[in-house]
Amino acid sequence: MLQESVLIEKNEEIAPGLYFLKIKTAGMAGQAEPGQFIHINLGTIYDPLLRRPMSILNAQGETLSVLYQVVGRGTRIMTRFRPRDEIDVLGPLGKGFEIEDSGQNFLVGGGVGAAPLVFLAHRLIKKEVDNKFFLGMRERELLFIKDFLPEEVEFFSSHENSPRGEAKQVTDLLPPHLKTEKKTSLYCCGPEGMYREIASLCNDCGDFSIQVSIDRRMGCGVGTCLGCAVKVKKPPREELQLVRACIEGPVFRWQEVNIDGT
Amino acid sequence: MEPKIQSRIGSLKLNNPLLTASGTYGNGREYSNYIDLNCWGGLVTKGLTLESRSGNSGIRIVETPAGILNSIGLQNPGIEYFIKEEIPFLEKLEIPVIVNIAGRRIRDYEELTRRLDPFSSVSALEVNVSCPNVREGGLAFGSNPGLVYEITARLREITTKPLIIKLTPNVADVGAIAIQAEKAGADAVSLINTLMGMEIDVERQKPMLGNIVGGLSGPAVKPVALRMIYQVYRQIKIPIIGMGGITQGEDAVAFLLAGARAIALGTVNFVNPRAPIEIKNYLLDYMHRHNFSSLEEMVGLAHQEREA
Repeated sequence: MLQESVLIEKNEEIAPGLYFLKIKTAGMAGQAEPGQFIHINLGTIYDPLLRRPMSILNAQGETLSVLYQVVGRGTRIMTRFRPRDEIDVLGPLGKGFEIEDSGQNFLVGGGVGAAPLVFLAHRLIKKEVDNKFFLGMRERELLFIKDFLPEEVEFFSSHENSPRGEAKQVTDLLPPHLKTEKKTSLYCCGPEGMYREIASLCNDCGDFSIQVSIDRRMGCGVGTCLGCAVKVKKPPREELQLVRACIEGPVFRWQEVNIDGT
Repeated sequence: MEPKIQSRIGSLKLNNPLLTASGTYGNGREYSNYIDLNCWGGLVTKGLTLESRSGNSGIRIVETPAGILNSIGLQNPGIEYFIKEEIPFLEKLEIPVIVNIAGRRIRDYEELTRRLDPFSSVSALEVNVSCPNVREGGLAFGSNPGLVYEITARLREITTKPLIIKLTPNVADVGAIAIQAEKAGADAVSLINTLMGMEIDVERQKPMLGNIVGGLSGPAVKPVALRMIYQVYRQIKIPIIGMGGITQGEDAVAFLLAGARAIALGTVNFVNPRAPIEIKNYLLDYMHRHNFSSLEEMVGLAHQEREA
């Protein structure tokens, strides 16, 4: 965990409203784990006030990258970052994915929020098992995320405007692959409705473990403001407790998360 | 010569006037990864209640123009846990620790004070009678001058530790309440707690916060806080700990000039963990530039022309 003033290497619009930001930070890139995030100070001092949390798309050597969609004032300000500008960044923050020993790995992403799965894919290919990447996007143009993926990963995609008879949702892609005897780890990033659907598809199907990344409004990103509370059930007694998405998450085991109660 | 920035709140000696604002710093642990906690004048802990509280459901934090609205709802693990798990950590700090306490009934405050009084690592108590995010207690006490007097007087009988009463801005006359705290034996008052506000999600046609209303903090509230401190300074003799949207060095200086003897940084910690160091450096530089040799010379200085 560092607070660093870092140099911007790239900040490019790679699809309409979608930006690729690459920063130089040997320290953070070296520590980062898939599923973690960085917290970017917009440099605006008074307004907008808060940092913006961004999942790590990849970390290689001395650089770390994120993908962001322009959705509001903060991200609009980020589009004005230029190469060689310095920005203040906290990170890497949070608890990422636990890489498990499985017969195969499914990475399931819905929307631009799928970015952390790219980083994860680069880690998973070091294991000699099958890695399948399922990606669903609203528009076909956004499927280029696959360009960031390592070649060894088998890629399946859907988008909402697909022709009749083809998969429209990422969850439409999954069922044929779930008929498997292999122990399978599912790593998921997307909306919470997608997680629920994945979980119900996997029910009674086989030996699946599901990890999900939970999105919450964040304040500090380091565990003090308690703004990003997530309700979880802790074994053995399944007691409900509130934990912080920024510290105990953002990645959780699906069976621990109590989405409806939050 | 380096200007003297030491400050005093009753018997409490601070190496510098910067405190953490309760509820924005946990109990310090999380930020110890980013800065040396001993750079602060003192650490004010997250609001503590007798029993653990899980806080409010739904969205708890929303960014607003130059500020944030929060409705955490005093989430904390309760005094039992605090004594067992947090005090050993806080004991190791070299700076005074001020424990913020909150309750639903007067006897909750009394019990908390009784339990904390024996710990030498607890340097002072800040009595939260102003939380806008809990239904009972909190603000209901803090907006009633008689009840503020009663709580203060009762706690005064239990402890000799400095008692700081944290006041709410959500009243017509904050001075009247500060006067009661002083009369009942408080060593200082701290103000302001957050301003009650709300935000509406216009696309969903619903309040943004799960709790509907929340407390506004950040730069947006600074002029309100400054005005209240300026007014209260004229009404009481005990020290004021000023807070409310302090983000940069200039803000901190303004609070001292308005009459605060110490200042607390809150929301800015969420954005810039290095704020206390930057603000302290600004303060030293400011004092050099204006030939102030001690903080004492600055406190309340903005009042002088009127009085002359």
